[in-house]
Amino acid sequence: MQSQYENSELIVTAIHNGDKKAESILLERYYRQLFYILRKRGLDEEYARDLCQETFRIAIERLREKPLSEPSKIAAFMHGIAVNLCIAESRKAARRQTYTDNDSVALAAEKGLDQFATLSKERMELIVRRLLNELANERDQKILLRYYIDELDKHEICAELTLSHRHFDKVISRARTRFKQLVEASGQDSLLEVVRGG
Amino acid sequence: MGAEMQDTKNTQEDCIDQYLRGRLSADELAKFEIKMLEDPHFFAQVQQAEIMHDALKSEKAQLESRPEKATNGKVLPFGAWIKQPMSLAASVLIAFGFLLSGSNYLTQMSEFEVQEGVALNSVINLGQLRSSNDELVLSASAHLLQIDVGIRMDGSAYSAKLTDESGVQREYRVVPDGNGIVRLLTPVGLNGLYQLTVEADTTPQPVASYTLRFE
Repeated sequence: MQSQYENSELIVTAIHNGDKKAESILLERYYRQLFYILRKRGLDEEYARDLCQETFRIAIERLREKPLSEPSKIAAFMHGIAVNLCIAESRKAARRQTYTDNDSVALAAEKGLDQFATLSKERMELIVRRLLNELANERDQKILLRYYIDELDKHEICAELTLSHRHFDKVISRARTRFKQLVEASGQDSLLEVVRGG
Repeated sequence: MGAEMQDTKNTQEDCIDQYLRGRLSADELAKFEIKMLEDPHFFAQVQQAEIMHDALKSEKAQLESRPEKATNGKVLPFGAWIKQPMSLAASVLIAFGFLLSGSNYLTQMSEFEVQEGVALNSVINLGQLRSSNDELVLSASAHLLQIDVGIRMDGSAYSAKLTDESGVQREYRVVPDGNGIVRLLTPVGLNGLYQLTVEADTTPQPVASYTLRFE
């Protein structure tokens, strides 16, 4: 049976009509992504959580008051709020602080790396090792290393190793697929959900 | 999967890589992030790609030592193989043997041996047998024995002594190559049990010792 909240437009309308469950669904649907986006934009874990909360508060208040003119663009709406808050926060932080407290930065970076995450990281490294060992061809290994570790562009690698783009795509694509298979086989999917979930 | 679909998939994955490297423009970044919000499957793909990036990067230190390890036990292309000193030496000797065997070579392949001169029957790396007490059985024709004596900085010379059961000893001067390998070409026509010892001029103890049986 299709849920009445399956569609983003329905969620938006339901929130406007005072449906509390629709508000929870909105949170459930976008929280992890927004948290991830804010973390990737350089916010530490605490700030990212605060800004996520603030984003939802603003969005829900606005939707209760007035529905979106284009409800299908709810994702873009949420994104806009979060990014604007993030920019404002960065400006505030720049004004507040004129030096970097390296110890606090390191502490913040380490904080998220609890034992569970460390365990997962170690397993991932094992998987990567296995993936590389499976690449019998030395050139294929080189492609992977140049791309992922040295972060060279496809064009640069193809020129350096005299490769066709097609061959390059094939090697990288095979490696990604195999990595996914190895992750799934090791039962890491559920673990990752938790680790990355924030 | 069709080529077009594969191309689309590759483009999407390239885009994910660019995002993870922070190389998207402001517009591209906004579109990318909105797509992550709209499409949970795409978001999962991004997370997976990030894990792969991170894991590969943390492997960097280990991978830097890989090329050296990777060549161990690997089949080298002919070009690279022939450039190795030992391969070159063995090839020259084999070619020499072929030349001496002349036209008989094609017709008498199974009895590859000549009456005069040197026909190399095998190249044997005795270093692999150092820990073994078993005797090595060889045919009476010529063999190139390669012995790993190790690399020494004092430029020592070595003597290889081949002693038969009655105590008769043949001594050969051998000089190690840059890899610490000495080579001895055994004479044709040896028969019976022989003890081969390799001694450095500077030390009385043999560096290596093997029991060989020629039949």
